[in-house]
Amino acid sequence: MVLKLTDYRTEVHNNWCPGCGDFGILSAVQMALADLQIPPHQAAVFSGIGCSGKTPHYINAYGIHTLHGRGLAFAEGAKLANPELEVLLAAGDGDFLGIGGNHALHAGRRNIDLTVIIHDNFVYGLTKGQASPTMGLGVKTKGLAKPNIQQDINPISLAIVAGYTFVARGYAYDTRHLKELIKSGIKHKGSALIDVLQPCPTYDDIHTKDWYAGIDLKDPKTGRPVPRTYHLEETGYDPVVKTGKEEEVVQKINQAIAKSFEWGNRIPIGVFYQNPFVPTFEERLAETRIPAILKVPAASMKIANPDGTPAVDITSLLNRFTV
Amino acid sequence: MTDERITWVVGGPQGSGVDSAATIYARALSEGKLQIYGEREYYSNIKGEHSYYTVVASKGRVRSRPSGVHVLATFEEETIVKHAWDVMRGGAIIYDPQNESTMLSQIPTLEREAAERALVRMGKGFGDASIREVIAHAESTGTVLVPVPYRELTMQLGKKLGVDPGRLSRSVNVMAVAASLSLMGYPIETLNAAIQKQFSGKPSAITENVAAAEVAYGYASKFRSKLHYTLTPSETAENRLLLQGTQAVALGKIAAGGRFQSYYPISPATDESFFLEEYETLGKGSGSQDYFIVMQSEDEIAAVTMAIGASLAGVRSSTATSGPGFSLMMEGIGWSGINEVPLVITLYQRGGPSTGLPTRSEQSDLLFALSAGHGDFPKIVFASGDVEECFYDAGKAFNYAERYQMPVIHLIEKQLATGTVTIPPVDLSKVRIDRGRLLTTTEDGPFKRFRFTEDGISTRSVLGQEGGIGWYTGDEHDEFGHITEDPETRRRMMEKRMKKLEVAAREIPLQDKMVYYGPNSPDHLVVGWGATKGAALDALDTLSPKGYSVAFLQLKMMSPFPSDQVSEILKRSSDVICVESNFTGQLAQLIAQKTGYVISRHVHKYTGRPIGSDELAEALERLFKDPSRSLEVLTLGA
Repeated sequence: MVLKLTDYRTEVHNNWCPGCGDFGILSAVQMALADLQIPPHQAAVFSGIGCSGKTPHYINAYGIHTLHGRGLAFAEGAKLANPELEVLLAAGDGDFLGIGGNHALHAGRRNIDLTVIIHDNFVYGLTKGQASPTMGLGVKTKGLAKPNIQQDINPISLAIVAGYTFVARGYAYDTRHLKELIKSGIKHKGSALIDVLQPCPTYDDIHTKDWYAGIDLKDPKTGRPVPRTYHLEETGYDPVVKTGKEEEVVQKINQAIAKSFEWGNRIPIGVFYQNPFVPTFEERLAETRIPAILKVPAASMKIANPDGTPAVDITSLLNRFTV
Repeated sequence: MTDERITWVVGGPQGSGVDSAATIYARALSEGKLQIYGEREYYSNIKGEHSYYTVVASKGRVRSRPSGVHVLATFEEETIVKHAWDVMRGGAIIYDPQNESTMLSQIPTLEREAAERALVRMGKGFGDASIREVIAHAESTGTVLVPVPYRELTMQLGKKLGVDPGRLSRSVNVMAVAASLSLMGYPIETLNAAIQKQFSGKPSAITENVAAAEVAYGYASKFRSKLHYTLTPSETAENRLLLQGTQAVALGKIAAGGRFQSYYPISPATDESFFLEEYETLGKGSGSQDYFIVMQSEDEIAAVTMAIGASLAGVRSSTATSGPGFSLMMEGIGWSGINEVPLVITLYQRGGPSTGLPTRSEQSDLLFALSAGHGDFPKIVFASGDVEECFYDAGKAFNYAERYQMPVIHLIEKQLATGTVTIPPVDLSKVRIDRGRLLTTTEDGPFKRFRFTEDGISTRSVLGQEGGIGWYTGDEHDEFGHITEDPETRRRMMEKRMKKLEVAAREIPLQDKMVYYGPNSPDHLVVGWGATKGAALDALDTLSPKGYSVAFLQLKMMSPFPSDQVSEILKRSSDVICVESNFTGQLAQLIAQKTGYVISRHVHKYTGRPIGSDELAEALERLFKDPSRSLEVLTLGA
């Protein structure tokens, strides 16, 4: 049976603001799942708190809307318990990089096979427009009473330095391109992070859909707008580590970090960095300690007999402590 | 006097082999089938500060520590200053004579207050004193002095074995154990066997330690006749287990099918997770198809939420922590509550508030555990009374969590966590795994994870299960798990969740909620919980023969609280005394809240040291004799 896009939709009333970038991200996720023919019950979509947090309710798959900033930790636990699950996290910029910063950082050290999608609109929407950790220093949106006095975090650089092995940036209204990024992230074995730029039409009057479309930037020849975002892959940029040798990895990392600071009238979107040579956490456990972990998920292990007695006899373990 | 109960204390700087001395001693006694009760006391420090281990031994079961010490084994000065006063008449201090000239002021780790207390005990209000004076004072109160010249003995041995004497100086702790056993006339063969086990796989360490033990054993034998106490092996052939509380919990979790634990390092909880990691293939080697995932997370927020994530995927999941870490887990506990996710938190209580006494014992997290997380939601909170209970309770915690689909907080104290004790062999046939209501067949119509039911418990699917798609949210939700703020759905969901606690209260058998010891209508009823059980039962054994009619009520289940049964028991006695290791009397407060009965007499301890049986018996007797007294505060322990 071929799964259709509609198989990933729910009947739940969507209460995001009209024009919200979240709609584009939601569609891209649903299209990616359909393209990859991932059965809805095998996907688990986690989220934190905020507008992005509502994403799982709109997707027909296991949906886990967790705590502010903690979606990633929930997702890591679930993935380890059942490595066969396709695990996605719909994160917010404040959710992931602010309150959840510690989890965001440390997940990189593990490289658990999951995909993080940051809904990055520079503001805390649901609490009425405060500056998020990705809003630039000195920026004053209409939601702010005073210009932002804290510097922004660069999510691409942060992810690469933290150890994520697939790092990309998308744009919410370049949905087909974003869909492909999400598919690549899902297919990548390891922790994938996709920072998705999106307008907040309610609280951010600066990074609007028109701003991204470059309405203010006219091509002198044609007189037409020049979109701010451009596709990295169309510029000959090669993000993929080919040999896994340290020298090459360092070169790719440096290239990606340099690229990630390009901003303003030219904003690159696409894959910045991908290293397929780093073993996942699950593989590390299997290789060094628990060979069975990739063969039998912990979630499928038999622990009890039908009469409720333990299925595993631990007498030999107890004997070590017998006196 | 014979060897009914022999208390032995070994002390020394942290990292100097105190723990391994105690382990070898406990193993030697276990070789002779004696039973052990051990307490480990140490500073929040890696090397240098004073640590000591108390081991009480008997042919019968030992549940707590009495007041006096029969043999004090030392190899440096501070242990003498801190513990010489506890040695009983006819008991012994083993010490290094080369330390005699050291002045108290020259011991860098000795707190000024501790030095001052020592001076006062010797009748000196101020100034300084030498170790020689401390020892002389002990001798004047009837203590047998046993100087063991460790350095000289190791020099001689080094020559004999052709080994660097510096190397042998590492065996000083074993020599102190050997001298101790020699004094009490306990056979050296048991010690040799213990050394073989302790240093298994290291033949040169075995040779050296056995030789060092022989030398010290022989040397100390000349003092044997002076000692009033002897220790002899037991005739029994019965096998038992020698376990720490953290090990008992870990084994209980493994036996009951726990397969995932996430944790962040914290004293004293970490030992449990370390143990689980050591035995992650359940003792069956790398070919094992069964395994236990132990995840060291970045903080306790991640520890609790990872455990919830793993539980959603269908694995019996837990985390273990102590006060500060537990404080960070509040939001996760609430999420587990509203989403009805099975979650087990093993909470090893230490001295609070804040960082408090990180390596000491206390019972001050009871009310916090009961009110953990904002808002109203059901949770089960229960406490184990000893290491044996820890094993079975660890498994029951999973059953409660899965059957009632709620967070379960299992309370244990540091005292039980790190103390090594002999317990009866665990009976694996008593372990039962109840996974509760899991989705097994596809339901008619769409699956509703939070379907309204008679008893509030809905069928649970696990992530990845076909036909079980559902949603979870920390927001109030409908039967599918989607956000709602509809007042009627809110009312029904609230009632559904809280109903489960009533069901738990009805179904959980009384013996898992409370245990009553002693005569039915006693003159005096002692109430306590957790590790207090051991000292209370031993105190009863002292008080009953004196003619006191006294009983002990051990409370295990704090939520749901057995209000009716407790009320009924409280009415049976005209004098009720609540014993707790905290300042505010948290159990007494809970009892008042749940039964309306206000307990007005209390025994409290908040030094971070466990309650001893003798100090408790003495405090209770003072209360029995004087009805006007309302509070006794205990202080035993250096």
